[in-house]
This record gives sequence, C-alpha cells and structure tokens, in this order.
Amino acid sequence: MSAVAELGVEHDNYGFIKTGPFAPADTSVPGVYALGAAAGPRDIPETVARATAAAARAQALLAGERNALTVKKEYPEEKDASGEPRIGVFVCHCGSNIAGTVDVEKVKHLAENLAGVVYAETNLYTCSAEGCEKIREAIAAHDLNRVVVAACTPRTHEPLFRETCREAGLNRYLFEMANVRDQCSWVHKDREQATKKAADLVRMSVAKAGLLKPLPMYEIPVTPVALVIGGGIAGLAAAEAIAAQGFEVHLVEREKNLGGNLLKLRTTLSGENPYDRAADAVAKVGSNKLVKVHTGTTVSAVSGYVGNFQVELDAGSKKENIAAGSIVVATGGREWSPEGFLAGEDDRVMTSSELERRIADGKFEAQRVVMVQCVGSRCEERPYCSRVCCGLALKNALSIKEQEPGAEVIVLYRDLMAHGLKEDYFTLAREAGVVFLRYNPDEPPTVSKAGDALQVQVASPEVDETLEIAADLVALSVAIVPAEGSKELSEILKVPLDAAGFFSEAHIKLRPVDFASDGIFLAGVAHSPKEISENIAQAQAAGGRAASILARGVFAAEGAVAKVDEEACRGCGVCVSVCPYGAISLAAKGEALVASVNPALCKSCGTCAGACLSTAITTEHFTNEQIFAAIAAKMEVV
Amino acid sequence: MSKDWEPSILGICCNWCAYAGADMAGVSRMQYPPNVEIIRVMCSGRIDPAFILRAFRLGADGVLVAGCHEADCHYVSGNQSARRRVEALADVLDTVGLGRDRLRLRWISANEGALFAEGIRDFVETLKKLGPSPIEAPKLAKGVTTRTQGGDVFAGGRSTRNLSRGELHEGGGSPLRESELASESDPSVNQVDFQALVAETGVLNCLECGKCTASCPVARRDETFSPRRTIEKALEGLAEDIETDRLLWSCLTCRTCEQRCPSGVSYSEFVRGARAEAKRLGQQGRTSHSGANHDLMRLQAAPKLKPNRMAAYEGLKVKEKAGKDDWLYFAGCAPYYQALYSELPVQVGNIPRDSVALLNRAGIVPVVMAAERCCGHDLLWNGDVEDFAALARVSAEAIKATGARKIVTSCPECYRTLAVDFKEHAGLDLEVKHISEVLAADAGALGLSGTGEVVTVQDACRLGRQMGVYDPPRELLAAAGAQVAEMAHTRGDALCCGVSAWVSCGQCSKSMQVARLKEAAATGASTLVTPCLKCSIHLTCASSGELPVPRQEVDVKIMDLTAYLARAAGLTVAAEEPEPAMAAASDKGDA
Ligand SMILES: Cc1cc2nc3c(=O)[nH]c(=O)nc-3n(C[C@H](O)[C@H](O)[C@H](O)COP(=O)(O)OP(=O)(O)OC[C@H]3O[C@@H](n4cnc5c(N)ncnc54)[C@H](O)[C@@H]3O)c2cc1C
Ligand code: SF4
Ligand code: SF4
Ligand code: SF4
Ligand code: SF4
Ligand code: SF4
Ligand code: SF4
Repeated sequence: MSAVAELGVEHDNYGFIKTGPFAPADTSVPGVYALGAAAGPRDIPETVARATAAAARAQALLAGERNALTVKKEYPEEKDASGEPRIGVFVCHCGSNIAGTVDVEKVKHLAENLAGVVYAETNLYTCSAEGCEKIREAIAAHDLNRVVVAACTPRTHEPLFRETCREAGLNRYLFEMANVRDQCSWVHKDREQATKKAADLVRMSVAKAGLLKPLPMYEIPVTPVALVIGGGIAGLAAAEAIAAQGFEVHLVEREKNLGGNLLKLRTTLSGENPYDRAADAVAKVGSNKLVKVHTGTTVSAVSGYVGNFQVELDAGSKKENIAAGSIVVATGGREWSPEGFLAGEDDRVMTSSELERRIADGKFEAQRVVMVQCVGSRCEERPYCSRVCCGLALKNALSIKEQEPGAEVIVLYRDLMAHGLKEDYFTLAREAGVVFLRYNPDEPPTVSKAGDALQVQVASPEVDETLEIAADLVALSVAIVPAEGSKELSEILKVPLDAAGFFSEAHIKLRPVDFASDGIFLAGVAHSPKEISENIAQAQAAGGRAASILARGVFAAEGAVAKVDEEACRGCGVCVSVCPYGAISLAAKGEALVASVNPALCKSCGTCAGACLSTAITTEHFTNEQIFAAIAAKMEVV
Repeated sequence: MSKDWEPSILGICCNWCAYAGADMAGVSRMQYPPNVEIIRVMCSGRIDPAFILRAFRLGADGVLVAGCHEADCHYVSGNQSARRRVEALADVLDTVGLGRDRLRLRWISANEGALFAEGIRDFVETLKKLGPSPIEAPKLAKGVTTRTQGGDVFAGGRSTRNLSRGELHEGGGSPLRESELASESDPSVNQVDFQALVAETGVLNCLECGKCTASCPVARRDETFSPRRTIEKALEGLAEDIETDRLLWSCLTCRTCEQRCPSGVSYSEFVRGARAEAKRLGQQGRTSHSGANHDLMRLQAAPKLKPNRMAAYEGLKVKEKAGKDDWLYFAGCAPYYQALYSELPVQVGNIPRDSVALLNRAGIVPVVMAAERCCGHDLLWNGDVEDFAALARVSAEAIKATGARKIVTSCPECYRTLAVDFKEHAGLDLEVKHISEVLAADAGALGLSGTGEVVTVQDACRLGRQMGVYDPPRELLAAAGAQVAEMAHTRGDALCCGVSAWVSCGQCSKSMQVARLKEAAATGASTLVTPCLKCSIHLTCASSGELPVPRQEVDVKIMDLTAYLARAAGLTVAAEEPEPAMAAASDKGDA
C-alpha cells in the first residue's frame, strides 16, 4: 500500500488501484500501469492477461529505444563432429547436494570406462563460471565432440550447458544431461543405491550422447506487420497496442463499420457510454497512419507460419494478398436468438440489450418488469456462463429504478454472477427494491398470455408453490454465442475451437491470449464472453504479444524438428492428423503422397513419430535409435 | 526369486509435466525407492509402443509412462495419443501373458512431486508382489559389447542368450550406417556360410536372364532394386556388398520372381539367408512399426511367460489333450494385432473364434493351447534366426505336450513356418494344413447359406506361391454361394500385399497396395476376401489412410476368409466393428 501511495496513484474504496474499463492497465498516473490483484480480485488467466497488457502499455513508451543497448554475441565456428564419438563426462558435486549422497568419484571412474568416453572429471559446481570454463577447456584439450553433464535437471540447466558447448565450438545439440540430483541424490538416502542409480543414469546419457547429431538452428526473418481480424473494441485495442509499438497493422472487419457490439450498448455499470467510447476508439484508429483498415472484408486464406504469414483478404468485389508476421483474432460474438418465452411473438418480450436501448432512448414504459437470466446459457448445448448478462440485468434494473422508482423489477435468476466489484451494484439494486428470485434450472420459467396480459410462471426453491407473475414487459438475458463464420476462420488459421465454438487458447491458465500455434493470438469475446475491461485488457495483451514477435526481426526456430524418410513414408496422413500444430502436409511426389514437415511450425513434440506405423517420421534429438540406446543402457545390456 | 531381487522400472516421462513432477519430488526431498530411471521425451505423444516393448524384452520388470493431465498437454493433444497407444498395449501384454499390471500410465503435473513419489512407491510394491519379469535380459554377444568392464556396481548382469549389436538398434528406422558394421566380425567365417547359402538356394544356376527383375513388383517401383544384380554380386562372392546393402531389406520374399525364373533360383530363400548373415554382421536391417512387432515376438520366447488365450474360445468346443486323430488349432497373432492396431479399422481379432466355430461346425473339436505363442515367422524372415529358433523350441515343446499329430492354422505364415521351418529349427515334424484345406474337404457340413455376392480373393504369398494352396478358399466361397471374380493378377501371379515380416514398409508398399485394391475394385466385387490376416492388416492400412487416387477406385470391403465363412454359416451375427481397445482398458491402464 505504501508503494502505491508513493507513486501517487488513485485507489478505490477497497484499496485496489483504480483503473477504467476502457483503459484497464492505466492508473491515474501516466507511465504507471497496474496489473494482477493490485487492481482488483481476479483469477490466474485474467491476471496473466492483464500483466501482459500492462507490459505492452509500458513497452509502447519505450518502443523508440528498442535494441539500443544490445550487443550481438560472436561464436567460434562449429567443429566437425562426424567422427567416432569422443565424449566428456562432467560429474557435479553440487556442493554436498549430490556428493553428500552419491559417490561422485566412483561415478566418474565408471563413466571413464564407458564406450566412447575419453575424458571424465568431477566439479564442485559445474554450472559456476569456473565449472563452465573447465568444460570449454576440456573440449579443446581432449578434442571432445560430445558432452555429458551429470548434475541437476536439464529443465533448468540444459540451456546454460548448451551455450557453454557452443562457446567452445560444439553444436548445441551435442550435449546431454544425466539428472543425478533432482531424480537421484535428493530422493534417495542409501549411498550405495544412489551411487548405482547415478551410474545407471550416466550410462544411459552416454549411450544416447554417442548417437547425438549436430542440428541447425533455423533463423527465419519476420515480416514486421500484424493482422488483426475483427474490428470490435478488442480488435481496435489490439491494433492500437501494436501501432503504439511502431508496427504497421491491417485491421480487417467484415461489416461496413468498425465498433462491433459496443455500438449497440448504451451504458456501462460504472456509468460510461460505450457507444461514444467505441466511436472514439474507431476515430483514433482511423487517424493512425500505421493502421490500415479493411472494412467489408474477410480473411479467405492463410498460409505460412510465425513471422511469415501470407494472407488473402476478400472484399467481395476484389481479393488482395498481404504478408503479416503475427495475427490477432478478435472476431467477437453475438446475441443468441432466443427460443420460447413468446420471444418474437409478443413485442413486450425482448432481450435485455434491447431493453437497455429502450431505457437509454427514453422509450421505456412499464409498471412491472420481469427479467429472466441465463436464457440459453448454462444449458446442455451451451454449458458456459455468458458473463455479461447478469451485469446487464443489474444495469437495467438500476436504470429503471432511477427513471421510474415506482416500477417493480423482478429478476429470475439461477446464480448471480456479480463477480469482483460488481457485488456493489447487486447490493445497490437490492437496496433500491429490486426483487431477486432464484429459479430451479430443471424447471425454467415460462411465459404465456392470459387474455392480453403477459403471465410469467416460475418455480422457485425459495417458495413452495409455482408463482404466477403478471408482467408488462419481459426481458430475456440471452446467451452470447461465437461470431458467425468462426468455424471457417478456425479452419483457415488451423487453430482450435472449444466445444461451444469459441476460440481456445494454448493454456487455460498460463497462456490466455496465445494460440498453441506460434504467432497467432486471441482476444475479446472471440475467446469467451466477458466484459469490456477484460476484453480490452486481453486485447492489449494480445497486441503486445503480437508486437513482440515483430520486434524480434528474426525468429530462431528449434533445430530438433521432425524429419521424414520419404522412402518409408506411405503418405497415409496419420501424422498430419495427429500433429497439434498443423506442421505436416502431404504432397504429391510422382504417383505417391509423401509427408513433409515445415520446420518453422514444428514444435518437436514427436507425436507424429509416435503415431507413424511405418517408422517414416522421427524427431531429431529424440530418435528411435537414441531412445533405444538409452533403454538398452538402462537394462545393462550395453 | 532371489531374496535381494529389486524390480527394475523404466520411466518414460514428458518434459513439461511428469519429468518436472519427478524433479519436484526432488526439490521437496521426497524419498522413494531407487528402482526407476527416467528417459525424458518432450511429449508423451512421442512414446512409441516399441519403446515399451523393447524395455520388457530386455527384462524390465515394469514400465511407467507419464505425461501431463488430460487437458494440460503442453502440446495440446499429444497425451491423448499416448493414452490410446498405451491402453491398447496393455491389452497386448495381457494376451502375451506379461500382464497389464507391469505397465502404468500416469498423469502427473509439474507440481505433483508427491504424486510421482507415491506412484513409484506403489509401483515398486505392486511389482514386488508380481515378482521378477518372466522375460530375462539377453546379453550382448561376445565381441559386440560397447562397454568395457564397469566394475563392482554393475556386477551380476542377467544373461540367457546373446544379442547382436544390429538387433539392439533395430527399429531405429534410419538408413544403415557403414560405421555401424562391426569390424569385430570375422569375414572369412561369414564367407563360408555365404557360399553355402549361394549353393543351397540355386543361385549358381542363374542364367542372368533378368526375368526376375522384370517380374518383380518392387523393381517396377524402385529402379535401384534388382534381384538379378544382387545375384550377380552373390556369384562374384561379394557377401559384404549384399549384406550391407539397404536393398537387401526391400525384397518382399513374395516369390513372384521364382514363378518366372527358368533355372529355379530360390531368391526369397536366398534373401532370408543373406539377412541372417547381415544380422550376424551387426546390421540393424529395416523394420516398420519401429520394430515393435519383432520385440513382441522375441519376448514370447521366454519359457516362463504364461499367455492365456482361452477367452477367445468361450462357449466353443475345444480340447487340451489330443487323441490320435485330433487336430491342433494354431491361431497365431490375430488377438494381439487387433489390439496393437486399434487405430486402424482392422478386423482380425475374431479369427481364432470364427475358425474354431467353423471347425466345430465341420465336426472337429480341435485342441487349443492356452499358452500359444507367436510362430516367429517374422523373426525368421527378418534374419533373426537365433530368436526365431528360441521361440520355435518353446512352441514345439508345448505342441508336443498336447499329443497332437496334425495342426490346422488360420494364418498362411504359421502354416509355412510350422510345416517347413519348425522342422529345421525345432525338430517338429507334423502334418500341417491351412484351415481352408481342412474346411474345403467337407464344405457341405458347414451349412453355408448363399450370400449371392460377387467377391474376389487375395492369394497370399505364403499360402499360394509358397505352399501351393489356391483352390480351397475359392471352393469355400463358391460353397457359400459367392461368385468369385478374379483380379487381373491372380493365383501364382497375384500381387503381394506389399509388406512381409514387417520389414521395410513404405512408399513402394503403399503403391502396391493401392494397385491391388484397384484390381479388386475393378472386378466389381463388393468384398476382397483374404485368407491371411497380414494381407488384411496391410491392405486395410492402405485403404484407411489418405490415398493418391480417388477413393472410389479402391472402394472394396476387406474381410478375412474365416469371418466371411462364419457369417455365411450363421455363426456370427454380423461383422462386428473392431472393438476399440481403449474403451476396454480405460479403467485399468489409467491413473
Ligand atoms: C447482447 C450483448 C450485451 C453485452 N453487454 C455488455 C455489457 O453490458 N457490459 C460489458 O462490459 N460487455 C457487454 N457485452 C460484451 C461486449 O460485447 C464486449 O465487451 C465487447 O463488445 C466485445 O468486443 P469484441 O471486440 O471482443 O467483439 P465484438 O464487439 O463482437 O466485435 C467483433 C467484430 O469482429 C467482426 N467479425 C466477426 N467475424 C469476423 C470475420 N470472420 N472477419 C472479419 N471481421 C469479423 C464483427 O463484425 C465485429 O465487428 C455484451 C455483449 C452482447 C452480445
Ligand atoms: S550444475 Fe546443477 S547440480 Fe551442479 S552445481 Fe549447478 S545447480 Fe548444482
Ligand atoms: S452472466 Fe448471469 S445470466 Fe449470464 S449466463 Fe452467467 S449467470 Fe446466466
Ligand atoms: S504417418 Fe508416417 S507413413 Fe504416414 S504420412 Fe506420416 S510419415 Fe508418412
Ligand atoms: S514433432 Fe510434433 S509438431 Fe513437429 S511435426 Fe511432429 S507432431 Fe507436428
Ligand atoms: S521375392 Fe518378390 S519382392 Fe523379392 S525379388 Fe522376388 S519378386 Fe521381387
Ligand atoms: S501396411 Fe502393414 S506394415 Fe505397413 S504400416 Fe500398414 S500395417 Fe504396418
């Protein structure tokens, strides 16, 4: 709190840093951005999205200084490693972490006697500057062409040791680790047993090391232009965030106008005018020279990969091809058209957003309003919560009470999603006399006509009998569903949708704005229904992520990618169907079909290799041979 | 079980979750028994059933496969592939008698160190109850060891038989490497064996007319392949050249060339012998399926293994001991291939059941062996004579123990192997027949009702060109009221299904399969009936995948002969869909 006070940023009644729904990362002090739970209670994905948004906002200020202080590292030429393996083994004490349990001298001695090993030593701390220097020296002194470090876990230390090898002229992939600390000395007490296991692990690593191959790192130049699909508030915010970092953006909108759903909203709970704000955002983007707006346009084809997408835009009368380094999907959603409840039959039955417009336009007239929540949401077909409709109902209820304090408002609900600070408005509404009545999901309310009067029937667990409520107006809080054409777009981009048809992110908690495929990001309602501030935060985050790719200039792709033995390939397409990244395609070769891998898309998971029946595709660095060698070493037959 | 025996467990863990979970156990200093060593892969989807089978075949007592929780896969869906494969493999382990309890699949996240540690403790307990694996570790053959003496902590390696270096790397899938040739082998010894092979297989009589190459379906598709040229080399005594030649593994041993050879050169047998020499020389050869099928066969050579195959015969009439005239029914690999290829729409799992039902209908109550093992055909034709012989000896003992004097098989490969190769390698000399021959002898007894369909027949190489059986399948189909339409290449000229002994499947195989399916579809037949389950698997594999031709050109149903007859005899309700092996295993193989 004191740090907050020192920065002089405003906070709310609860002590959370104040941010606005349309600038969710910005505090009251320019240049200071808020993220995470400092600005309100939130879950992991929202926290990560907002953190990324704040980072993007901060980066925008620094865009001009990018790479001003970086120095390019020079490496010696790689040495030829094609001869017989000359393996060096470095056994780490890790202080007493390993040596306290494992007899490292004995392990070293055993390692020395393994086939292919020409040198072994022990180190107090292999990862120290001194330890790494000793590896480099030994590579030179003993002409090593493979290095095995028996120490901690490759998950943390492999990058360091690979770099060390590279500095001494060895290809990065000629390195292997034996995990004798995290998976041995730390989990076993018996010295003899732990020593035996450590020796087993070293033998396995040496066996694999002997079969390692040098692999190239691919460097792919990046087209410094982004594509944003969808011109709602999320797409606008993403485009603005990317342009703020100095990159060109193509903003593609299917409709004639930018703005999306916000143009249909009149108020927010906190009393702002979404229509005006959307119009502001449209104007701002329109005047930004870096943003090229394509309205009345859709994306009809995409090929390529991170850094180098080729995109075909379809504007009806003409098609245009553009190149982009990264893509943001912000295609939003739409109101579900309700079924039942006399919707479409009686014009006193309307959706909550229609009611909102009537109230805002002064066309509201009724003495008793019944609002039905969760219409079309949280059911078998659409099991998700649409997240904005409870807020919409609260907003409408409060506006009605303000305009016509005498009017009765009855909200029929299942659970009220007044998450975070919205709870305050729930309290306000109850204080204003709005009646909240829970209904049983198995028996949803029905609407009928008695003569000319509207009649709502509801069974509530809070009262015993079925209630009959006469109403002048019925407002349905209907579900939000994905934008039309989402499925086609997902196929064009080769990115997944969830069961409800919204785009799905790479990791539900930790990567909320990334797709699993590199270079493609998502934001807004296209991902899931949510409120304006969350949509904008997510959009700023996605924009920041998209810009970070463009800022790299070149993209280093993993060298250990999948590889096809064309003679053994049957062109069956199994690998194509299991690859989670769409990295494989079948191409005609003479009369046959043959699989080919795009190394820029491959993530080296090896699922293709595990699935191919005819052993035609493998992942470098995890080949069958290498794994079989480790298995044989484990079983002591080598 | 020796008192101080400790189970040996191989762990295969994905980098992001399970391996990280194991690290987390370390960071939290959670103690667990030191029986496990982990191989790290990036994703559990990388795990090939061959890895697991290799570990078991080398004597592992248990294998732990671990990856990310269902929805948490770092690579989106790799773990689902892993799950399907491991669960199918668990069924296979049950069938071969090793038992699914030795294979565990666990989902462990990066922070679940406790779950990892507890998982190992529990697995070690389970394995201690199960006892040592019935499969003992082989030992490297003399002269090919790649490890110098390691000292005391490695003392006491278990040894039963020798293992060549080539065998050790088999399934690698990569092209042969010159550097891998063992310089330790003595070429002069090799030369003697080779010359004997050349003489025995009639290669010396070759006229160099080139008819073999002209008729060979592989040579037609791969211009680098030529049986005639190989024979030329053999005549020049270039043993090494042949045995290190990648193309040695491309021959299908289909015998098409032998139909044409005017001097009776037995090229397929020459290839079989040359492969054995090559293996002895340390060649890894080529295998499809990463060598999984071969390891599955090798591990069945363990005498202590107790397979149980009786479930297939429930409700049917079978015997355990033979009277004087009783047939022994030998089922072969059908049950475990059904599970192993659960991702293909193969339908071979019911072959044993349909066969015995048909035999019963013909008035035959066959002897069956609960502990039946693979015949080993694919090891033999892959050049792995030693493993074949070990397996054949175990099977021969078991067959003799039933007292049976004659054997009926539903698989042409078992047929050839039991009839010819068991004699040479395991001293078993009994009458052997294919089920089509036995049933055709009294087709009237089967009560076949007219299907009225047009069908066509695949002449499997082992049944036709090797054993000379062409008519019985046709007679049976005619008895079932089917009209047999012949394909463009038929009987002795029939086109092979493209793979034999799981050696070198690939582009050429697929091309042959597509050609064969086109021939079948062109006859107008609705069904391609095959008397061989391998033909059925390979052709189904081709037709179920992507195709280089429009699908309607190869649109023909593939059905095993026994399944077709059993249906015509009213012994099955309908052709059952292949049972999804994963559903059956889901409550057992999983965490
Ligand atoms: C009925 C309703 C009521 C709502 N009420 C509230 C509320 O009270 N408070 C609140 O905070 N939020 C509310 N929301 C959520 C609100 O929609 C979002 O906060 C915000 O408008 C979402 O912005 P977006 O950019 O993600 O999506 P959208 O506004 O839907 O914009 C998506 C844009 O993408 C375009 N598009 C779609 N597909 C393609 C394509 N294939 N190619 C090119 N362009 C395409 C669309 O035409 C549209 O312009 C409500 C939403 C609805 C539907
Ligand atoms: S390399 Fe790993 S094990 Fe060795 S000192 Fe460093 S942290 Fe410890
Ligand atoms: S936000 Fe409220 S009305 Fe909308 S689906 Fe969720 S619970 Fe139902
Ligand atoms: S799965 Fe294997 S055989 Fe099939 S297309 Fe892919 S690489 Fe080729
Ligand atoms: S390794 Fe994984 S990402 Fe790469 S091609 Fe294979 S399945 Fe696709
Ligand atoms: S046996 Fe078959 S594949 Fe081999 S050479 Fe002869 S015809 Fe060709
Ligand atoms: S054709 Fe046969 S050997 Fe080849 S991949 Fe298919 S099943 Fe395997």
